[in-house]
Amino acid sequence: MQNNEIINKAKEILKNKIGDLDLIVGYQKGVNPLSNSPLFIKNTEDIQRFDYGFFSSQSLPQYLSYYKGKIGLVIKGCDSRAINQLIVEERVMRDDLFVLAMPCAGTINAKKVDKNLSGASIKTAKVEDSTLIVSLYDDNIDIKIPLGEVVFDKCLSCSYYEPAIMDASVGEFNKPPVATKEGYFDVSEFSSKSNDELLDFWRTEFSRCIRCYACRNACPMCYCQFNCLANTRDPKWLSERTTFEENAMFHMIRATHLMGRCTGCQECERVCPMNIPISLLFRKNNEIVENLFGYVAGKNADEQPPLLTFKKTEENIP
Amino acid sequence: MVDVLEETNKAPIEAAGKPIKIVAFLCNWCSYAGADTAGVARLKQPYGFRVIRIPCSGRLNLLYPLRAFFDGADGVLVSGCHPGDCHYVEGNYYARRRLEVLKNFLPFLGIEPDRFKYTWISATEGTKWQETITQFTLRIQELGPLSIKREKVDAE
Repeated sequence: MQNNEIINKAKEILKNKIGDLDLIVGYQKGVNPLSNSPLFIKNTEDIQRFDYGFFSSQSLPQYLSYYKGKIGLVIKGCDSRAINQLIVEERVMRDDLFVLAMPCAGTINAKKVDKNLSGASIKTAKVEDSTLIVSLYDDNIDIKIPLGEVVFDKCLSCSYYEPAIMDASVGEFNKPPVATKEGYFDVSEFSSKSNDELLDFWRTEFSRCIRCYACRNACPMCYCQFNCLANTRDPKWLSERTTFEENAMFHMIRATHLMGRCTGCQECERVCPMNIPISLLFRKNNEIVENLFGYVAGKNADEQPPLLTFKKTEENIP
Repeated sequence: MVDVLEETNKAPIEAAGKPIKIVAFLCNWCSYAGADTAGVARLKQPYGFRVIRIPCSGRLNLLYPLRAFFDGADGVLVSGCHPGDCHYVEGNYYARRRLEVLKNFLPFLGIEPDRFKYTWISATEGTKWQETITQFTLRIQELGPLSIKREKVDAE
């Protein structure tokens, strides 16, 4: 199915739903040709701007914590996990939701493209036959980059292309061709490093953090908002200094709070202005939780999170 | 082991010229009382660990041990009642799951797995406490100071 057909079908479905829902969150063309912006649909005119494709990289379930009432969401397969997890944690009611699932063949990571082009400003961008074709302002030459080099890391090991929750869907859900790697491939690359190498790695990464808290604000699971531990004065967990220790502690707050809850949307990395690979921490924790308790966050909407329950005899804990 | 204790009981245990720091989080009802039993029985223990009493091992926020590591502790020991004997019935069942995840997570940051340990010690097990803390201290001494604090990088 062509992308235009998918968009038109989605527009039709959303048009019929406008009366029932207070708000529909979808995508529209962004200022940057490499990434779509969220589109907040309240009336039929807004729907004309609806767009979807390889550039719809943002994960929309994060808005569920900010808006009350009946909400419609346009999601990719991987985003469905965040919705499930929010339902498990009773942050949203299933009845208040309308989920429109869209097929996805990987989304473009604008940062990887920028790195590839060493920061040249981009005029237009499109995807054809698993290649990203960009044209620059400076030259008239089209630059072709294979899709595998510029999609998110999560897309490389995508196994959640089929939505775990949806009310309506458009198109077919197939494994994206870019998904060539398995499981927690980026985490396991670290297992060969020595302790000193790891400490050095995290020391440089965390020292670069400017504590803008963008990762926290973008995370669909970090919904404490103004009650976040990182902001509390009493008890004062963090000082405002941006030393390695304080920055690391901020990321530890998120790592411990997201233990087994991270749904792997990689929004934290997408929004990070310093390009710190933070989501590695959460993916590592996910791997541990999956090995110990066989739980994958957001796979089902009726499974209890493992750290909120216990067994008297644990199978995998000595 | 007594020989080691005779020596270690006199001065702080040092590694690489620095006294090593160990933080022990003990639950009020079992492990703290167990450590107390060891003290009352005059069992020799290594010098230089700091005990922090917590109401229950289930009360232990995982940020406590992490904060201890980032603030310069070389080792963190957590101890609570035996599973099934929790004063609050099920606190340590929850703690067990969390602590196990943290134990698996710390090596990813570059903190050696042996620097973090969690055990279950009841109020009568003074000797078990003595063994645990002695072995843990000796292991930390072997590992030396944690390099988190060895070379500090100033953020720009």
